Amino acid sequence: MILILSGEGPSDLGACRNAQGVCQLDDYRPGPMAILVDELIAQKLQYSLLASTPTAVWYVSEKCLAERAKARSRRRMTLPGSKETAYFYLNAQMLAEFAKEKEVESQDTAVAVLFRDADGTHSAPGNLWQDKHNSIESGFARAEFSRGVAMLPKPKSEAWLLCLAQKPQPNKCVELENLSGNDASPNAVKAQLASAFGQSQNSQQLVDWIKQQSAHIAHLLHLPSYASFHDQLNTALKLV
Amino acid sequence: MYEEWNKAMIEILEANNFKSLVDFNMPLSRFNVLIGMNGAGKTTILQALDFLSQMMHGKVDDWLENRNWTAADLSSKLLSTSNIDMSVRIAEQIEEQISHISWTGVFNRRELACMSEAVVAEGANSSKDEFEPELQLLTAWQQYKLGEAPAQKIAFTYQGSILSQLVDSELTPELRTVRDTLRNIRSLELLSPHLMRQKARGGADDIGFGGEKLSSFLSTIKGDAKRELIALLKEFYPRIVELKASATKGGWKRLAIVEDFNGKLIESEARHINDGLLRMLAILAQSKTERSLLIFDEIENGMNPELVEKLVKLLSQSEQQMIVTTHSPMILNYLDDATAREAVKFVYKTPEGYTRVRRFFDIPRIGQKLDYMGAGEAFVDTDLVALTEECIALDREEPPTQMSGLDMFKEMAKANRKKAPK
Repeated sequence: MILILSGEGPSDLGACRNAQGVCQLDDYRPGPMAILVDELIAQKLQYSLLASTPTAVWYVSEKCLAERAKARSRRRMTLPGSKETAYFYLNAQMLAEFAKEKEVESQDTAVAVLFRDADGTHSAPGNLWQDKHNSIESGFARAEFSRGVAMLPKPKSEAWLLCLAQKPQPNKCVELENLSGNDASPNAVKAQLASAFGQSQNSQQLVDWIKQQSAHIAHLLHLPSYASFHDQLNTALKLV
Repeated sequence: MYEEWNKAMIEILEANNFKSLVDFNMPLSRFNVLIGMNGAGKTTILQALDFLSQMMHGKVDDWLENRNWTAADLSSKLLSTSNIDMSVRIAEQIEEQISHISWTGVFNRRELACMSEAVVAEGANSSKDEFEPELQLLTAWQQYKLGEAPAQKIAFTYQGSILSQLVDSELTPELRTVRDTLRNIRSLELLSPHLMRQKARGGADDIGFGGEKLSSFLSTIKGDAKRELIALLKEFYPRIVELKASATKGGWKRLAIVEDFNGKLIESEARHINDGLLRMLAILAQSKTERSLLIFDEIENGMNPELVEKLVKLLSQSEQQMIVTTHSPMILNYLDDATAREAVKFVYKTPEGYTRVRRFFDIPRIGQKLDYMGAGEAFVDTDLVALTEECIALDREEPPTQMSGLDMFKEMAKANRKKAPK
């Protein structure tokens, strides 16, 4: 099995050290969400891809997917269904196409995980999580790829980390999804995460921390946006 | 944007109290695509430009009659004021230098004329310092004043702008530029295939309001100009070999096309020609004229996408300034990103009912979409109702900082009031 990851940057699935926007092994610096994905896969397959078969893990940058999307013919219009979700649809479609190319190259089956903040800069005000999620699924389907996984934290990845850090009661965990994804807001999830840790943590600190959390990961299932990702990943792994 | 541009173009349009245009200001580029929801005011903007053109023709009453309007229809129902203020800033490139000429007029609906008017020139040809504005025309209190010359009493009646009445020898090059640039605006927003099918009488220097004089107008195009027009038409309809606008009994002009179907020449009269071809003919015929600004409402009407693509390329590369409105994402997808960023303008209405315009891709969230998709896809992907709300919020955050031409005119009028005769 090969794993194809695409996120927004170092604080989620990671980043490339090279300029190509496609990387693996030493060129790839996994972020905290990549550790989470690897841990879930390890729980199913009994081994860590990052530790045991790192050549099977590829990272594709957002910029690289944007370039692929931009290179499409102008005559083929994308109609994702819901307004303001084409960004999610196209990211999924491009990632799936990339994953299929890697499958041919490696003669192996791929699982592709697309991480995007549900409430990031690419979101229109008032846009619904479900619409974005549906568009990611439609994008995978458009590329006829069945092992695509949407990793779409609501409002953003800090809510998941906060749930893991605080391990509150289940209903309190759900409420974290209602915090603001806007970092400038007084109700910002990012600020709350920093205060939970006592200070703002950099990506490497979060990676080191999340590696110690494997026993508590099940707590995240109280978060609906995480539960959806968890189910999709398990379904995809069954298809490998 | 001016590099290959030798014709004067309107770079800013301002209006106050023209229908839904209240404190309205719109930047224009050489090629402009207006998008927005029904009722936002796209067509009103086109009408305002057509109105400006008529002011320079000096035939406002005919124009109102042709539109089946009265002067009362011109002003905004949202304001209690009667006069309509209009202002344009024109850019003109002379050799390497760009000069700017602003015209402002205060239109009186009862007199159907601008009772106050001013033209200010800046740059290239100005006799003063390059950046110092030079007042070249001022009309007020039944007097007009050209440059430094003494004021003269207006002893004649006129409609629209006084520039429509003054002879060329009286006018500076800048004043002629203003008059001709505005006079040569041609709005084809009322183009109707039904009218274009009509036979028309005599020769015509224009295709008429709705295209009813198309056959007459085409009959005046001869020689190289006609060959060029047919060649252009062939790019869209390769079978067309001839365009006939021939005289029939009583001076009526009959329009027909001849198409080559595998060597067999078939002639079809206008009444049998499809809507798309007639519209295309009208558009192409205009693009070969001396018009400064051409205006087409819902450019895609009646045309198949393959033709629209070619047409958009042609119009976007034209030397003439163009404004088109569209609801079609395909049209926008044919534009390259740089053109789209400059050309596409989002027209929306405030809760007060005022029409406003913003460059679509200058709205940060919308501009980002171009990283992934074509301009048309970005348009389809945008919820225009939500975007209207966002734009209204942006308007509140950042009120206009630059003084508009209309404001400048009011200042100037105040300063000149002291000098005015009692």
